[in-house]
Amino acid sequence: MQRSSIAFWAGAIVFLAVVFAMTQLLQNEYPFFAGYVILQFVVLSVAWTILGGYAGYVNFGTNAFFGVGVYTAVLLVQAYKAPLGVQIGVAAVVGSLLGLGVGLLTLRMRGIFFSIATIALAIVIETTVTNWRFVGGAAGIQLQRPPVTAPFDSYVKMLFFVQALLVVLAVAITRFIQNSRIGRGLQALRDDELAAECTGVPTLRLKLLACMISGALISAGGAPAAMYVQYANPDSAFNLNYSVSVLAMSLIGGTSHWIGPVLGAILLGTTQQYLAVTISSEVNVLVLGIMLVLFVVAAPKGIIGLVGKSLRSGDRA
Amino acid sequence: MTTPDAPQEPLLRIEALTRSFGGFVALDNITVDIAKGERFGLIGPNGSGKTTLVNCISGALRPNKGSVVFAGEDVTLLSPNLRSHRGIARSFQIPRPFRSMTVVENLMVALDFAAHRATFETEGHRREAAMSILSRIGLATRANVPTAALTQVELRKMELARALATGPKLLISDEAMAGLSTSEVDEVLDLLMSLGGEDIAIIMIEHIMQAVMRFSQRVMCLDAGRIIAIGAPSEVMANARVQEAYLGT
Repeated sequence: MQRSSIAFWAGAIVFLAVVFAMTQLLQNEYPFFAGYVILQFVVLSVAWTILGGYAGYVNFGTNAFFGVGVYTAVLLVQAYKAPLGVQIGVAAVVGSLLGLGVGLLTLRMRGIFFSIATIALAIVIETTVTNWRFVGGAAGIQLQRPPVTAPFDSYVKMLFFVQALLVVLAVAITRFIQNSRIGRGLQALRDDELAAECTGVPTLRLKLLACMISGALISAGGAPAAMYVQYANPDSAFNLNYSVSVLAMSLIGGTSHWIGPVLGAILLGTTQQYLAVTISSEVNVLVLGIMLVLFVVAAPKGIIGLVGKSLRSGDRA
Repeated sequence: MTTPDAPQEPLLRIEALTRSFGGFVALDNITVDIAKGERFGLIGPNGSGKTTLVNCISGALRPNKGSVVFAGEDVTLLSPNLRSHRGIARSFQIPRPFRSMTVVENLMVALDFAAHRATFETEGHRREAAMSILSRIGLATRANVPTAALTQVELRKMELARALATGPKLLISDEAMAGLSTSEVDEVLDLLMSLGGEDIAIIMIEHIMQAVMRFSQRVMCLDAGRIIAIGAPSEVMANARVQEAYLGT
């Protein structure tokens, strides 16, 4: 286990070093513009997997948490001109509180009822934001990026690096959960909640913890999006496409190991970016749907189910 | 009907327990004590309230009235996981394994969250403890098999092993022998008997009469949510009301 930890952190450092080198060497901004979206989906998918994969509570309200992250950032910029780090940090706190609320309100809901409740939550929050003038209301709001600081020469490059840091954070937390007894407890409650409880697993506490961590990471991953597009409106921030994409990425990658959603997000995210440029952004959704159907039929355990049993949930890595 | 006193200070005291579902009274004013290390048989026809009683003891259900006192502490309102930490373990009438895990991982869940977790320093120690329980139960060779591949008797044993891994003082076995062959029944029965010798009180719910007779120090018979007989196995079997309600004669 220790050796795999060393390998993991070495990999994380290499990844960040490559990302940083890219921001210093590449002049063209487009790779960062596209890459940012892919990294963002990696964060969202990995975070979603904590609750949707490990615990088996399928959250359809990814867009609620994402939008809350975006609008927390908008609010902080509007009210206090808060820097990016503060926007992300506060978004994580708000996201975890929202997660706690979702967990407490849906205590007795399982399966499809939980999923529907999370969709309802997204609608409630979107409606609230739509009617909130200070953050732009239904028309949306323009945001000014502050001047970029060294060593970065453009804001998008900096956002790309920040999102890469969030990827490492999200994966590290998810990996820790998977390898700790929390992960085993979540897996037990996914398999059989009553049996888990009678075996001593504090199911309520674990569920709330999963809701909070998952929510915090999704909101944190969404916060920089405000500065990325320099504009926010409720329609795009709370777009149901986020929920569908993240669900598809996680399921296609496989949810029993943290590497699953990482692979799923890279595969689908890259495909989407490629299609958006070559054909049209509308085709995205179609491709997403087709791939999801293919995987559900041919590989219900996702890419990691295909790759082999070495990454099966029980093994520690 | 004679009611011999429980031999020692009771481990479990159920007082005036009542539970109804809508207008149907599943348990009606049940009072009973169970002693430390006692082997206690619970019988009764289908629908007489046996599983409801087990659910009230293990925490899956809360009673409408009455209390459950375990080791001197009122646990009536505690959640199942806290009761598990205090030493109440159970198996299920229909086995409920953690299906995505192997046999030994099922036990690791119990050990990872047990109250006595601190006695094992590392994951390796806990795995050893899990393996030693499995070899006791006779499942050591199946440790790394997914639960989906287990036979019925292996599933029953796995559930008992998982319950044991929580470090119980009271083990409730809910029809652990249903659907097993005669030799398998003997196997599970021997296992349960050996646990009694370790000061683990066992409540055994069973329809197989020979098993109940051989196993129990005391037997309680429920019918329509009420205790109709309690005492030594032979006395309870001889009771006319028991024969009428349970044996259908």
